Amino acid sequence: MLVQKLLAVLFLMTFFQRAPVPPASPPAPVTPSTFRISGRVMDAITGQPLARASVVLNPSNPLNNPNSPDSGRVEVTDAEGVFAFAGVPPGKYVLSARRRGYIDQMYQQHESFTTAIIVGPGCESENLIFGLRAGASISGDLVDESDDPIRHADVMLYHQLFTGGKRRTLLVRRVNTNDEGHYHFSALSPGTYFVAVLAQPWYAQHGVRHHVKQENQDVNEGGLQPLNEQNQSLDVVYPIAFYSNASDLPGAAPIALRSGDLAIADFRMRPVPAMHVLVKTPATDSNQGTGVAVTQTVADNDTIFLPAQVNQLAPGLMEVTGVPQGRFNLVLNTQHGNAMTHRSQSVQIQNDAEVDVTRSTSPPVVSGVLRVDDGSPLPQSARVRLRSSAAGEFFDTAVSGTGEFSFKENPLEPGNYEIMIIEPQGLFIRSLSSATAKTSGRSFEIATSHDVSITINASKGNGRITGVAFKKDKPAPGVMIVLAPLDLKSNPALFRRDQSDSDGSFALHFVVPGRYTLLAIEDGWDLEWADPSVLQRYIAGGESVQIAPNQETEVSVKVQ
Amino acid sequence: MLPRTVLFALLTTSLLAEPYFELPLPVIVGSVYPETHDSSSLVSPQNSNDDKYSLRGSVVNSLTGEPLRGVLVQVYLNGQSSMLTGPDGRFQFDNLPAGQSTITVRKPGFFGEDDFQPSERGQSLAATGPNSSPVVLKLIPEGVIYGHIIDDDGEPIEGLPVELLVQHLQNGRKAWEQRTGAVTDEEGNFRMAELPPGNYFLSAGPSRNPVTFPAKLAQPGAQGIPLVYYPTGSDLAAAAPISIAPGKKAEINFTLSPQPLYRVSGTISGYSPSESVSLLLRNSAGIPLAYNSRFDSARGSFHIPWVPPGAYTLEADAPDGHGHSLTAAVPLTVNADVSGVHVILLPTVNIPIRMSVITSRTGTERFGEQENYFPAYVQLVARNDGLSERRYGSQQVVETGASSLELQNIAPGIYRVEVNPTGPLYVQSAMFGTTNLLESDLSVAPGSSPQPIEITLRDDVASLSGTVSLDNRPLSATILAISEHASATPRMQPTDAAGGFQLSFLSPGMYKILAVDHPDRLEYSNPEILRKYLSKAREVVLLPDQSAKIDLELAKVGE
Repeated sequence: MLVQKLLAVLFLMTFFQRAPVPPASPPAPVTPSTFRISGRVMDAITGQPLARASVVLNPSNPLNNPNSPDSGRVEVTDAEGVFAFAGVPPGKYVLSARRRGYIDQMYQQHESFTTAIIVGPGCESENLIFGLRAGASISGDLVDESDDPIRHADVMLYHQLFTGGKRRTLLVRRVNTNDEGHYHFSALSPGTYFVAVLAQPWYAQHGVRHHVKQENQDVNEGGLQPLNEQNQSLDVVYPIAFYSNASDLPGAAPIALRSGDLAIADFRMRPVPAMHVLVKTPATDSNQGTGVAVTQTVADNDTIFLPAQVNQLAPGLMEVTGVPQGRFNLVLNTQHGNAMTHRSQSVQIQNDAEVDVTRSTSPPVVSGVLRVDDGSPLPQSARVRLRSSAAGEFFDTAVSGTGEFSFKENPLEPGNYEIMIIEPQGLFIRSLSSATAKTSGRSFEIATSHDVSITINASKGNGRITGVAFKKDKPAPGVMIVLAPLDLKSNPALFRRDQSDSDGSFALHFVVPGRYTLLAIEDGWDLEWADPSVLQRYIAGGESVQIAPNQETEVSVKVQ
Repeated sequence: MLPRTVLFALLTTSLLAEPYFELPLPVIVGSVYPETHDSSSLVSPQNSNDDKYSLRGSVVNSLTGEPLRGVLVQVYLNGQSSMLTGPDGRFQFDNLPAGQSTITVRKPGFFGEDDFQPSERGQSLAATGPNSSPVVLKLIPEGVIYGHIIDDDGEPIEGLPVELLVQHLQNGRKAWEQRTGAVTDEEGNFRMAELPPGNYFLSAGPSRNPVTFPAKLAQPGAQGIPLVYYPTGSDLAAAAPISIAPGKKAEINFTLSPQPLYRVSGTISGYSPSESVSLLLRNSAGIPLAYNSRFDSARGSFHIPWVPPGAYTLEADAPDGHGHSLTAAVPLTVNADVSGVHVILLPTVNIPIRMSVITSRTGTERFGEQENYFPAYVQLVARNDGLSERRYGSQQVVETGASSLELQNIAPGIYRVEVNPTGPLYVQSAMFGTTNLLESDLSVAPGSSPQPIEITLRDDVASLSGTVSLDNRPLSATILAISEHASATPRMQPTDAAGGFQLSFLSPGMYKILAVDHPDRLEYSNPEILRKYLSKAREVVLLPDQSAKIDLELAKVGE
């Protein structure tokens, strides 16, 4: 089953209420009214039993009901790693475990899926083997060019993740170095990681480089002092550094971690001259404010604000410094009353460059209307998402009660984008139409710098598929269930997935009406299932299903 | 530590005027003084024609005397110049005009003297000119407190909050202040750096979540780590300070025993169903503890899981839905599950303030008459020994066109009342019913009726002037004027460089006047502490409109 709450919530929930005390001395029943869940927690790699692990049991139903977290029980494993919950009423439960030095995990967890434990007559809920993976760690020391420790540096950890059936490199954690220049990331899952450092020389002095003469007077707002010779050796920055010795993610050395690995990634930062760039900004009236920032896109989901220093030399003229030479994004923030707009453009930063952002063509804005075919109004929480096919970057925006939406906060590069409805969940996209962009399925193309207007035609009535995965006529727990649309290529939003529970059962919600192939794949969790060529070879072994609006279907599927 | 004015005067004179070189110069940390052993290296002008000079010097570790490399030295003199010291700790700025320059020195891991005064950063003065000498600047190395925490099975305790408290003097009263904090890592280690020299009190816990300590968790009854002050106790007053001298790295290792955690539950009444109720447990030191609480507004029931044994105050606060607040405080002793606690929210009290000004001088009538002008500002200070002094300031309220001051949403309790005149006035009396607030605390009873505080101010203020000296030599100091009124905060004022002082707008009455070198180290609001210094104090009785003059001898704090 899919667990949408964070794992931490599962642990926390346990403690809002004491566990119900099992009936003191139940009269020996013929058919018991309560059952046991028991098993052993082990190191998933070595098979060694793990004592002192907390095993937490939560009924699966309250998870979807945020108002009733008063549930959950906890048991601690003994020296043999054994745990047992007695007096468990029939039902469906989510089991999770944590232990110091190991990664918090749900039972047979894959991504946010787990094998839920079904408890009841004839159900097998004892002698479970709960494998926990030892947490790995990456630590290191940062020193400057004089081999002094760099304290308060920003250390970023990127994880090459397998999400949505695609490999992506995402920022997963961020810590600061301590006074000894040391950092430490612990409890890491096995996988491939990258480490980057953003730091500033603590002694850096940027000052201003340019002077503006206006009406024969030096304009020097804020008492800024011009640089003199001595200061120039201090007018330096550290560019973002990737382990080891790289300036960007493609050049970075991957750190491959297995369970329990302790990796070291040390850095020695080298200063480079800080650039001083003149930026012309649009003239503002009194109720407008303009700000300039410099960002660097580092990974799929990660744009970092560089510690740039921005000095206004004159109205409409700023000097930006504190950044190294290179290509960065210059972000212009304009405030009109309470509204703020951001505009970003890629610029080459080098000394004495002049960047004019006054007349730069603004990037295209995507806006449109969401129409529900029965004309019903939309809830306040309605949201749509744009996802760029190239970078996987996504942007969300709210939809008004009458269906209008606009991504004006998110200027977009030309390219292919997919639209999804995030809220309400019962709504699905039938088609897109646009007079200003080419559409195909749930995707459209931004080809020029012209704004794009899109009409989303949506319908209510998502279907639902429940079923059981069988392997040699026996229910198969823990297998990956994939519901794949016939066209594997252009509709990633139509895929649905689950993990079968201890009785082999699964459920797929919010299925957009249409024709699909249902697949059950054993050991399928490492498959790049979003790649059509990977999934294609399983299609023939799947079950073909047709889902009509609001239809609930039960399907049995053979495990491949 | 010398007050800023002294430093100023001393440096200016010692560097410029020959005769003062004979004065025994104190070693001033983070500041400048002549490097007498190296007089041959006195700097001469680079080019005497255009009057440009060099400023040379070095930076040393105040503890070891070792030269410090890579220190950022900045000189402000007709602009800013910056450089890093070389491997020998030396620096040299060329092409400076003659004059007084401000020098700042910085390096990670070190403090300048003035870093301990939050408003300023380690800076000093030096002179450049034909006869300027090299300067030596000192930096104080930081302190570090680190260590690890294990339970009685030797298992490291992960995720435990660790905090440092310092006791400092605020208006001559002891007050606790939270300085920095950390959380133990997976090996139970913690580390807190960048500590200025001083005495630190370390607290560990409480554990936020018993799951952190699986070994001790069993059904029924979770266990967890309570709040512990180093070395062992739950009582802050009995805690042992960790003394951090410059550059000291103190290792503090703990073994903590998990204790049973209990559940506190009960009902709350008197709340408005549309508003939320916030619940807070404070320990006996008045420190709020981060425990999760749950309140079911439909049933009026609450519970707080995992409370370690101890004495607490359960505080509840809620808006009443009409712009005012409700409050309750219930003392609790927890050594088992506590159920059936009944919390009754009561309205807080609004206390109107009536002020009158008696004027006798011309030109001050306006203080009594001006519209929207209040001749004084009133603050209530909660009487507790807790971490932070809670203060409630008077607010302006406008009713039927007339504005007045009011103390709003005051919870029942006992308060010290501070009345601060905003003009050349003094407080003649402050009464709450029959309570004289100049002598006694204000006691606010639950649900009490809005009785006003009546304040009378006068303009026939007195003043006092004089000079401070030590061994017949005038010197700068800080004057403390301690009033006979028990609740009045002593007046504190620095002298000028020559020891001269002038205290204005004093309330007539009897004062003990004391000149001290370090008022920040003197708990002068404590009569026991103050008694030791009274032999050096002068007692004066000031009459209305009187301008008195006295001379004082410096009392050195700590001697």
